[in-house]
Amino acid sequence: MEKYYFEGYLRKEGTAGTRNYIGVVCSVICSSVIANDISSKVPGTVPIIHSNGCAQLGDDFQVTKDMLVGVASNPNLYSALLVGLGCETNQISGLLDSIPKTKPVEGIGIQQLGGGENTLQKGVHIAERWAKELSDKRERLPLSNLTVGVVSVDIDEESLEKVHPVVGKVIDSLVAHDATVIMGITDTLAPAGPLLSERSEKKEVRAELSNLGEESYRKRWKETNSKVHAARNFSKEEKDLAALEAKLAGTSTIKGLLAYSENAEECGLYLTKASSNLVETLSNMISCGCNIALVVSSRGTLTGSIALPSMTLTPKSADGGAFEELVDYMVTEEDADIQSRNVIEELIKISSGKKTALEEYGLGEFSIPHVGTTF
Amino acid sequence: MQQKYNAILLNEKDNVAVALRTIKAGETLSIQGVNEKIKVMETIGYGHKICLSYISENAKIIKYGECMGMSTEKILPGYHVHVFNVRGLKSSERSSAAHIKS
Amino acid sequence: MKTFKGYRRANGNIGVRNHVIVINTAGELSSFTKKIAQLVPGVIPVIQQGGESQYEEDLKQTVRTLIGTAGHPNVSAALLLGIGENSIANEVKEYLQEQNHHVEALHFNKSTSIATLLKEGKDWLEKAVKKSKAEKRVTADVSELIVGLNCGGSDAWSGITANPAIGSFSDAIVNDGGTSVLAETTEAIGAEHILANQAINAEVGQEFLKIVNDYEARIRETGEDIRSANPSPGNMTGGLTTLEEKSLGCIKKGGSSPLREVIGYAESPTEKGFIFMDTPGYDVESVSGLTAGGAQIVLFSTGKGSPTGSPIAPVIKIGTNPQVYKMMQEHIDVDAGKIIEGLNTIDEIGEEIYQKLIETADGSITASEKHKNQEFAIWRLAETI
Repeated sequence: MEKYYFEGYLRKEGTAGTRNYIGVVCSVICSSVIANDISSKVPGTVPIIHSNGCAQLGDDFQVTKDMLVGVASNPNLYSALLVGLGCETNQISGLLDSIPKTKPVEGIGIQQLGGGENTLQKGVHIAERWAKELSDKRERLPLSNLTVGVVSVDIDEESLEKVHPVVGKVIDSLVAHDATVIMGITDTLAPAGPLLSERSEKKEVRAELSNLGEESYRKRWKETNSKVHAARNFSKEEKDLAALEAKLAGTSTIKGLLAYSENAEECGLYLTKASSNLVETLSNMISCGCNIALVVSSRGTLTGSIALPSMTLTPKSADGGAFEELVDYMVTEEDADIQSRNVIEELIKISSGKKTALEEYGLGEFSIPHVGTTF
Repeated sequence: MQQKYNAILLNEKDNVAVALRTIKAGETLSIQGVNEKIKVMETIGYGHKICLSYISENAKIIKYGECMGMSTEKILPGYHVHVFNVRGLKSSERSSAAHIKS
Repeated sequence: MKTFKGYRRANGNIGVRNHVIVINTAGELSSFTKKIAQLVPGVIPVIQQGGESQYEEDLKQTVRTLIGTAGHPNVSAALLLGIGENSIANEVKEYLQEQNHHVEALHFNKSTSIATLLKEGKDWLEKAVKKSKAEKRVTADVSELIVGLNCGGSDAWSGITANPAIGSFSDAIVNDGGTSVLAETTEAIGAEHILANQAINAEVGQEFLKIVNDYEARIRETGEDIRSANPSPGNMTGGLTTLEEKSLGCIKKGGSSPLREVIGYAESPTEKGFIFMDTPGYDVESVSGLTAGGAQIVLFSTGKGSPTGSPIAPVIKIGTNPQVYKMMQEHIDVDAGKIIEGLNTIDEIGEEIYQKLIETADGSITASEKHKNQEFAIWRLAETI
């Protein structure tokens, strides 16, 4: 087996970044404009802005908080500047307490500093200081430092037939090289829960995976206290499609089902919740510790993640198809083994600094899933 | 800046006023639209309520022209009106306060 | 008779701004919304993060909000961005075109290159901006105004200064035949029986009690009890004694006019006068619902200072105390703290707000407009599928 390496930024805690950003993170939508303004004035920063952060309760608030802690802790960020308003539920002090002290992290607030102008000045000052001190030197690292998020979005049966032999081998090969792979469970994949459960050695993981098709898996409006545990009835077509989508995950053992923002304990293949909202899914991947993502779709995607390079892969179709200029790799009829090596090599180049098509276009966002309504 | 008034009446039906600054015991209330001279009997923090007219036990506390709670003891003019002498409405009192039965 | 000068739309509505906007119907298009808006000076990006596969409850609310936003009287023209052929963008476009709104949908699909799409978008927007510049303001009566009422970053003074002053204004504009829409259902919990009593009939009163009860039930589901948690220790230190008192301080933005109608999130009032819209206390979602429901201007009281605005309507910020006005003048338009200083009465500040509202309707820029605070978000109900 050939040995793969990538060039990355080794962090204090032993993880590695494929990028070296200064993150400007808003705690709440009310400080999003200022966070964005700060970022626009300092090269090397990324604005991590979203529409959550206040009037949230229970699990829904916890998901928001954990996801911001997760993104601030992600190795693709050299440092993180948290920008708050002051009166929001999601307090900057609470975020600062929860973010491990392994990198420069500071928090500022609009109300505390007496307005947006002051906050902008102070924020720019901090970000500029970090921009001067950060070293842009990459070093050679093994794939055990790579955590790859794999997401499928808007994919049909025909495309799955074309791409699964390649993607499955990519994932198996990454796992064989001690990388961590976290694959998203979309709604279309849920019917394959029982099938996937057979691939885990742990009893509790098997149980969790076989329950993927339960109605309570995604939070509905006006749900009553008595949680509905009814199993959804999937049609044969839905089950067949899910079984085909499950082939994207290759053949490796499934080590666990990660909750939102949960990090993998060791290398290997994991699953986590994903939705049709690609940005929400990728944001969760960042928060779970991924430093690169592979997005598989029929048509290519129109945005990626703001802090996670997202390599996009589609099948090559006769009519040109897809948003070609936004796609990094097109799967052809060529041998799957050769193509899977090509994909891994491209993934390594991107991990080492090559810009993805989406990065070239400057397309990237951040948003946080809701698991309940706002109040 | 010297303030013209030290308390405010939010509605003419109200039996409490709100202190606009901390008012010390012994000062006299000055409220726009209220000519009566009421002596303040204990220190009232700014934003806190002060009794304007005799309130008997279990009577309505009126602020904004609406019932915001019930007294738990009699309250004399010039005294502090707060959690130690006022309670919120019970659900039966609330539904009977609404013309519309829920 | 109070009047202002606004933009008369093809459907007869009147706007106080003449925006050309780009709005995304799916979160995946957020980046392109910004990119396309940047191609033509003066175009405003309206960005929302939802709109992918959603449960029915969210989908309906998203479509209703997009229709209300793209078809808003303050909007001269709207370009909707969608993916594929059968997108929400088409549905919204067809609905609005039937009502003679100036809208178009731009679809990202497999057969058109990104460069072509960007050019198509730019060309359409350039024409729309040119057309909007030819539109002139005409005199209109204040009875044609719908004013949204919101609060955010409240403090102990909110219920004493700014909110009662907004209430005084609300009574005045309702008296002049106009409409005021109070929002934020969460804030009414504890004083719902009082607002229900203000209803014109038992039916409207019942509707209001129902939305409050539903709200409380959802909060209980998360394990929280709003009645026992309020007023908070901080509220009590600030002088608030009971939950009724706290909530009265919020709902008094609606003044004492009869409550004529209770409407759902992003729905338009069918009556004039004092209206209640069911929105969350989350400011940006609430203001986005108010504007989607047709509010041309929003009043927003703040005690701690909040910079948020709207891409659609001017938001007039009313500071509740002298300190916040001094510290955060860049974000505040009216200083209700003068009531504390004894310089003005509640009714005088109510009149000042009315004056500011007319100036703003005529085209004067508010603090949040000056700082390009164009936050937008649709009230989310369930998890994305």
